[in-house]
Amino acid sequence: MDEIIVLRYGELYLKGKNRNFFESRLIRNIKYRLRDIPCKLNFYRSRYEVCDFANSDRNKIVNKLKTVFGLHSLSVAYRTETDLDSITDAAIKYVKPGKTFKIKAHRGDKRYPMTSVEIGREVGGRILSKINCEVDLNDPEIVVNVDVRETGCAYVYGDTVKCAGGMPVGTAGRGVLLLSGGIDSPVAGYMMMKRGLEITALHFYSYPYTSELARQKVITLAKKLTEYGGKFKLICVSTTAIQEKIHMNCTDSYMITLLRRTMMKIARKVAEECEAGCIINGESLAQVASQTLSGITVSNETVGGFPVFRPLIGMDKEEIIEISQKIDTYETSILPYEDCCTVFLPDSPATKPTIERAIKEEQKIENLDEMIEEAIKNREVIMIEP
Amino acid sequence: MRKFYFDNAGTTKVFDETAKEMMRILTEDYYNPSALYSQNIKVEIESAREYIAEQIGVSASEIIFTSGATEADNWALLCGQKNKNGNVVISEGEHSAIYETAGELKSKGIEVRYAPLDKSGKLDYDKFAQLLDENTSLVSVICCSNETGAVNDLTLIREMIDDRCKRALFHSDCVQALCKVPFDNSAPDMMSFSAHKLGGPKGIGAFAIKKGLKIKPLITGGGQEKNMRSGTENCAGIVGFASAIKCFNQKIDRALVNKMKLLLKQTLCGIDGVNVHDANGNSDFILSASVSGIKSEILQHLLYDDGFVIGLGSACSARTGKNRVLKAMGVSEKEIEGNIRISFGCDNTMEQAEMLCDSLVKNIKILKEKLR
Repeated sequence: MDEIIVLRYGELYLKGKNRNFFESRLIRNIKYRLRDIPCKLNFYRSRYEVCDFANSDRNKIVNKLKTVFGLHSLSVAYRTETDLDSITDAAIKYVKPGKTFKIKAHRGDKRYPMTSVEIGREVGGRILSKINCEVDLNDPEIVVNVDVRETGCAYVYGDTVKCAGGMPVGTAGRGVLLLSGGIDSPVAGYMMMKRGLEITALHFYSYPYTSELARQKVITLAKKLTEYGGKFKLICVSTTAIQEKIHMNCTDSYMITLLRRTMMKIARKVAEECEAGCIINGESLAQVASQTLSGITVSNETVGGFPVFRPLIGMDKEEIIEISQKIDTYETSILPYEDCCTVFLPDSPATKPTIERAIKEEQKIENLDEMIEEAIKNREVIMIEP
Repeated sequence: MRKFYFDNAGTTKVFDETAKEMMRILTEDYYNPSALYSQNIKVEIESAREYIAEQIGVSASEIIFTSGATEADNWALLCGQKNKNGNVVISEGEHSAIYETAGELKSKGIEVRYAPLDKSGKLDYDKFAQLLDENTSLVSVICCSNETGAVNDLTLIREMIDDRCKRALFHSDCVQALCKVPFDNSAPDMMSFSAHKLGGPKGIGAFAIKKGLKIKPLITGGGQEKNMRSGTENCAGIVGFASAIKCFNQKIDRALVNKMKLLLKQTLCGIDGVNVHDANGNSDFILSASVSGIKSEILQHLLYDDGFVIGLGSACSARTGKNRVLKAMGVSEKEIEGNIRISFGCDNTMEQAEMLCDSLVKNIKILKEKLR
């Protein structure tokens, strides 16, 4: 009887001829996540196993696999022979004296000489003869699952751990994530990675108005995202010179509008460079002055028809916070360092900016396009690894 | 690029000699002092205790080593109240280690009274006196402010306590005063000290308890420090603490510190929109000023790029972005946002101070233009 971890995938079931493409990416992601832990991986159709690991690594493996997109659930299980004695020996380990239990059997191997109900009844009966406990089929305190597989073995396990779900990262292409130090953008990145996008993160800073600590905070947030998406590039672009120019030359209330437009223009160019097919940001409708319908329209205009994904657009702040707590970015996000949007913040930003006015304001800045090119040229690229 | 460090009230570089002494303890005399065979280290600890006590001006038996001044401050507040029904009086200018711990007492139902500061950052003695009554059981007033360098008169505070609440115990956080500001070491019943503000290591401090006074331990266990503070002694830290005091006293040029502060004060006073928070009798080691309309963090970055490290008030204020002490002095929000703290140590020279002045003038001018 070996202790193993059984992995199950979810939505991939629905894939037809493409299934191999999705599976091979999922397998690659699983291997990458477990690359530092000595263990063996077996990949069977629709079910994978991790085995031959040290006892002390068990929880580490479970925690690492819980965040692999594409996996639906996992269970720490005993892999046994399919004879009833072996199955019972494993199942009895989960049952405690004085507790009620139920054996929930599943027979993947239809050639097996007993039906699922018969397996449950027989194994349950054997346990009852050895331990002072009771069977309760309706509301048991303990459920022991027995899964007889086509591969000639049986899995016996207690709890099932829910995994991250979604699609394997890398199966849906690449997106440029605008990553600030706030609560929203890491959540937006998480949500799009969940749908299979690989990301390149783009961070804007404005030293000396923002600090080195603010940049470090973004690196920490990016590192947390690698737990879901594997390693990715973080591109840091300074908008200091552009912001100073906007502050000196343009109408105060358009500061944020013009900055957002600049960010989108830079993101579009970066996307082209890194062969990304979309931009991802953490905008949520009406959350702040720049995220009104007009505000979004005006910033979106700069990228033409290029797709911009805003997975949080219809979410309340509380819902976003809930996810950020789940993915463990919240505590970092709320650290009180300035981000570049709060520098030169006007008292009353325009909530209904127009494209025409924004373009007119931009014309007040000489060489804006050159400044954007210069900012991109001076970018810093950091490889973020888990 | 080499940095000139002007945030010595935050922490200091450990003296080479001190680091060497500590290394010797860490690698050679590393035995557990409680073990029967570790005579050497016991002697080292006791001679360090004697030296530190002598420098503070108390007797060796009154010194108990702690993990730092925060622990000593906590100890004073959590265990220094004889009459649990009495009130506790602290000043608005306390370090967070006292202020936050007083908040804990408050949440347990103990009455805490907060004595206001005057505009210069010193205790408002009249209002302080009015807060004391026969039910006052504990008083804690900082000796030298970590934010502004304002120095409180411990002798006067003692007299007021003796007049109005004879049985109350008096504690003072003397971290920024040790070796830097003369203070009446006989006035308080309890004092807190830290090594890392004067060239010693972090993680070691001392709590001085007046002879005859019975204070319960805050940390119990193996009974080290005569049952007063359990936990294996931080031997290297203790030896390092003593060594740091010795080096600091040998190396510090007090006249130079005075001159550097004066120069910076004059320079800052000459810049439009800058308000220096200084008064007669303040510590020469700390200079606090506010640049109105400029977030101090931005100025700090530009100075850093020019090779100067300065502080933004205490590390605790910098972290929360609020400066409680300046607020208590009546400084406006706008000025608090632009608060900087320049603090001096043994490595600073007049040349560095002059260059810092130039950098301050230049960068404040740049920022004023860009942010106007």
